[in-house]
Amino acid sequence: MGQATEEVLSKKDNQARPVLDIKGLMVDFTTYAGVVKALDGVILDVKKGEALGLVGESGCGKSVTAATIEGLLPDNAHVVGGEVLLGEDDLLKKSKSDMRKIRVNDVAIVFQDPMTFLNPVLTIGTQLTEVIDMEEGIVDKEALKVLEEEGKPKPPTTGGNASGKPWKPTRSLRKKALRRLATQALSKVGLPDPDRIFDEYPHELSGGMRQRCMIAMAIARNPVLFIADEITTALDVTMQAQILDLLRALRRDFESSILIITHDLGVVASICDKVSVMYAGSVVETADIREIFANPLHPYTQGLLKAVPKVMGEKELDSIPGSVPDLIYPPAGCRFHPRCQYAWDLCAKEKPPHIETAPRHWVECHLYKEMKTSG
Amino acid sequence: MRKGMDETMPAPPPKRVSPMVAEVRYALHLLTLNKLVLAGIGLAVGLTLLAIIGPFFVPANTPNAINFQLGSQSELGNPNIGWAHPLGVDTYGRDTLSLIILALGLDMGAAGLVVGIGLVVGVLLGVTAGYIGGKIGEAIMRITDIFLALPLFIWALAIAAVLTRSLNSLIIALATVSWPGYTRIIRGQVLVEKGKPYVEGLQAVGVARWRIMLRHVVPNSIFPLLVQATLDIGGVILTLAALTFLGVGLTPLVPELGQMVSNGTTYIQIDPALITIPGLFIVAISLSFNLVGDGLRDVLDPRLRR
Amino acid sequence: MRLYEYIVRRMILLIFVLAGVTLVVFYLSHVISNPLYLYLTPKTTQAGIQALIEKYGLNQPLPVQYFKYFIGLFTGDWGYSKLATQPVFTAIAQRFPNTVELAIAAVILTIAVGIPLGIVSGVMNGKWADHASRIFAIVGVSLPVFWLGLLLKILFYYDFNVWGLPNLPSSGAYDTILALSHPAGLSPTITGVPLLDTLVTGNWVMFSDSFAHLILPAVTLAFISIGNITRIMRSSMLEVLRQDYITLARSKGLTERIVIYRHALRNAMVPTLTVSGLIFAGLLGGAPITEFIFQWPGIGQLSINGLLSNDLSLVLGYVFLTTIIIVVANLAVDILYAYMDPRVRI
Repeated sequence: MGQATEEVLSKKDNQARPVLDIKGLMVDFTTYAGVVKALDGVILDVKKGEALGLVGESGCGKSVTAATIEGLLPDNAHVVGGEVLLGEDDLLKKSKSDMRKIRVNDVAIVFQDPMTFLNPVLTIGTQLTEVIDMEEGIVDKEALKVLEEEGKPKPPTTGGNASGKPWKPTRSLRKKALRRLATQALSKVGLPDPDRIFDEYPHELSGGMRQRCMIAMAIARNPVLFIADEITTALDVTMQAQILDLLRALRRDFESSILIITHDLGVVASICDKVSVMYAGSVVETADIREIFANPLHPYTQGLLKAVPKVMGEKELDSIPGSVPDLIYPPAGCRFHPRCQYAWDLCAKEKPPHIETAPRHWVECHLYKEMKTSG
Repeated sequence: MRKGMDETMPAPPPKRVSPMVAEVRYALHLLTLNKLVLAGIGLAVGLTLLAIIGPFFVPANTPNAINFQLGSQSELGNPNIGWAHPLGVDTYGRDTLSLIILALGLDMGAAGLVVGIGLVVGVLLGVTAGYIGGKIGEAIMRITDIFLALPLFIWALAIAAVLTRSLNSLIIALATVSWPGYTRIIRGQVLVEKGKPYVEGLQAVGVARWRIMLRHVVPNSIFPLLVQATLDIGGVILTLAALTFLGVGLTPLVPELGQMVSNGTTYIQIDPALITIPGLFIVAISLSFNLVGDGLRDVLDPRLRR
Repeated sequence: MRLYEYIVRRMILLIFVLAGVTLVVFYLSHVISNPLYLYLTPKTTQAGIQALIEKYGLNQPLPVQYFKYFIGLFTGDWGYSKLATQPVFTAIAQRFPNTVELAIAAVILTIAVGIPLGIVSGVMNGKWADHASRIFAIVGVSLPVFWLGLLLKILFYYDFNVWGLPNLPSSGAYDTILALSHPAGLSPTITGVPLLDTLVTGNWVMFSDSFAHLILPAVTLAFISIGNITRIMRSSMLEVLRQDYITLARSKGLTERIVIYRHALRNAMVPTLTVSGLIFAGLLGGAPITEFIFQWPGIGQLSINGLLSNDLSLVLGYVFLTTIIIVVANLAVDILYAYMDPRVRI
């Protein structure tokens, strides 16, 4: 890593600690055809309450990054460098059982295609309540509420019952309590008639409703970090808009930090505070949302924004020449240089460092210099 | 940056090969990863070689070389038979090893014939049913359903019951009930291929239907057939041995694995080797082809590949 | 009433299949060999032969004979068995319960061993437990049934005898001599299944005897089915574990245990249970070879004896029954499948 990048990273440390902080993550995949160097030094962070959009073409490594955060990389993947900090903990150093607990409490992920991601032989209710049930004590509390509402006598909450053990609700009481909690979660995500949906199977619902169920499963555990991996891609435009409204509402209500992975700039524009643009395994530009649309610095970002069809213009669609590089034999130096109109010899030799070239605007490109901070 | 990686390393140009060759290479690569399959291939090859070459080293009249002295009850199980008969002798005093070698040829040959006939008939009918379709196709498939309704052994039993008792009838009986499996497979494949655009394109240009069938559709559909045929050899051997064991189709002197086991049952308490040795060879044949068929199936299964 | 329609449709198909099967065998038997031999005895005179031909309608055109035979099958007239000196139907009906007993025992064994083995194999894919199960399964499937039966007999009956160990009986469903000497014997026969009858009447001596006789044949049959079930269960598990919803389940932070037992198994079981049903049906077909080796008095043994003594009507009756069983079992399995997988509706 360049010296400049190191300085920037240490500056970041001095500010409020971000919820998610990925430093130089490098991940390889071993396949029959060769070693795929999927992630080549990813640097990004998400602050508390912030919504970060992670944008890029298919294959640039967005989902691999998400999988690494969740600890769900397949067996042929190897993390060869970097850190993934959730608060103060490096997730890469965690054991499997610790990662599982983190998945329960801290990080929730919602996936792209709810049809394949929901278990077809289990009802929505079952799949939702198993998430709710992971949180300690929540069912018991709800069970007490149920008893209260039904006017039944409350068991002693201190000192235990006759045999000295703490009170546990009966099976039917638990079922009732779980059902209530689940239907509450379902209505929170805007589903009408949650009671009916509780008993239905995934294939009986529409795509948008299934997606909402998945979101319900994610928010049910009040995660610190919420990852949305292409969640609107499989939906039509109306459903997309509804889901985005939902996310905005949830952001307001829950203050969780969101990492939105998408290739759709429109989605990004409607909900994110900050954007990180990924290309071929690294984050090439990061900036606040207005800044990145107003002042894109990296040639790739510029190309992306130009490629979005405008309603008013009749000009041809500008596309970025060339194609996505082969990650088994990636280009040397900056991975974008073969397609870049500004490239020169340095670009083919050295990978550009991750520098802050303007206030809260980071770029990985030799065109730019580190911004001068007051000495 | 990455440790040890040369920043200026250029990408080696990927070699241009036709997709078919690349597929085959990948398949072979996967195959070699599976040691069980390799063992199966080795065993199958070994047995086949033994069946083909072995008979040259075995006296031709072995089946009739009856020696009641050796085979008499008092001699059976006698360890003093010595190295002239490395695997011992059977109830008629004939050398077991020679019998086995001859039997291998007979059994594997018969199984191969059954599967071969079944394949040819099955593919012809299946391709017809798939490509031409219509009433003929329907009729063929109904007949296929009838044959597929019962397990192989039961069918073979029924047909063997009505035919004369000979090896040829057995082979015919088995072949008659094994073709439907292939028909169903290849018909399915043909239907899939038929829907592909290239077929329509070829027809539009005026290529004869049978030519399209033979040169394009069939080669593309051949892999599942191969898998099934290999597995079937393993299965047919078992059915064949079972039938001859019961006494259907052969006389006691014929060197055939099932027959040898059957002969041995009379002396089951005295010399179990009469049963175990031929049986082991049956298992060997069946196992080797099952392993190979299994391995092929794994390799060709698109879902199991990386 | 879509289910009803579906069943009716399948039943019609069944009749069609039955017709086909019996037609093939009937035709072969009447063209290649002469059914007259069934009824001949050395004492039959020329006039007697003529009378026989008249009596059994053997001079009528073939299709008519077949038609009568086919109808007869449905009315319970399956012909007469020279071997059993009984009508074929009676002979088969008497022995069927024994076959059922054996089939049930074998299926229970198969499921109890095969399914857990398959699950372990699938979950531990690539590790030694997987390899061991796979080898076990494929060897099991490659064994000739008769050989396995003989080997088990040699070991557990003859060798155990010689070594002074308690040995398992090797033939029959029960010890006939014991049955004769025991005051209650095997009566009363309620279901015709010795094991159940003795259980119900509290006849412990005969029950344990029947049970002992059941062990070897059931294990022989089960061994090979276990190989099959294990492989299917394993590949089913592998298929399911690769699915997206398993990834989601893991991402919820569920323990691996719950992921496997609640999410994976419910999906993976479906093809396995359906195959079990088919295996059971196949076993009901009598597993003729096993019955033959162990002298088990079931319909399989009957058919083999019929085969060996050229008693064609016996073999035909057996084939008829087996076809019905298998086709009905297929139907039942399809319905079960629809019940288990909520996505499939008939």
